[in-house]
Amino acid sequence: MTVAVVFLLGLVWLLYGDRLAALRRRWRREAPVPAYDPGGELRAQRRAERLLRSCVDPESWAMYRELGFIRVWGGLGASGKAPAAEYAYLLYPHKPLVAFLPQTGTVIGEYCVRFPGGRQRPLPAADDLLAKWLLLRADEEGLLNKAHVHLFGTQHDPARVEADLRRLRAFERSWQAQLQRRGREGNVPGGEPTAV
Amino acid sequence: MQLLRLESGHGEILLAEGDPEVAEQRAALVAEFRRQLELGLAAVVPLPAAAGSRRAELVKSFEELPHGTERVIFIPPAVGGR
Repeated sequence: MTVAVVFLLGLVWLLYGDRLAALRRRWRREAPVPAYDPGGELRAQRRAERLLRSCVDPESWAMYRELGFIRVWGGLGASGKAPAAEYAYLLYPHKPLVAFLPQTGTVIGEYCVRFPGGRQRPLPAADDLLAKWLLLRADEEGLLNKAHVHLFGTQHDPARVEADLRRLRAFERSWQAQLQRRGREGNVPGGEPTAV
Repeated sequence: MQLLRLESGHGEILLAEGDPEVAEQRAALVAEFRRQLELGLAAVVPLPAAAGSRRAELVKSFEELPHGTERVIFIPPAVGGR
């Protein structure tokens, strides 16, 4: 008996499945689903990466390509320049900024800031990073005043950030070595010069 | 000069482009610049800095733009996250 009922239900679904689904959508008054553009996000990200590359210095671009984040020296302290900067930030796309002390690797906290814009979708990852980079360089205090401050580990995984700081130190050593090597040849690592 | 805006889900869009030395083009640039500020966006100019480094400047009016500015990037208003 049960097998017969299951068989009949399957048969009904095969014959009238489309109509039943349409009726179900009408009952629920579902909004039409916009056509999916599989390459849209990728194109947006590529466009954003080109803009990012043209705005930041070659070291930051190389850092982003290799590590997925960018280190920015803090400017509210004494000098705001390496290696004397008293603090720095790690900028991640769509994640809070991480403030840390470069001399010791101690993390100070997380600063969560977003750029919601007018649409449901977020900025492409590279644009989110660029927005943070531009505002940190142009108006660090203003950006921090808008951010929500969290204890380290609220959104970031501390183990991951500590690993990122180790990767950053290795990157910086490698970058300095490249600078010294190519300085003798008259080249700057990081590719061709970019327009500003 | 180009006025660009970071757009959600899209990447930057070109809002306006022109030569600020040409009166008509300048007027169009100024009008678009003001419109974006009125919408609450922040106007930032990426600039070269010493030793191949880069910096950025926040500007509150068209007149504040550094001489020779080639691009202004408008950023949606920043808000604190969760």
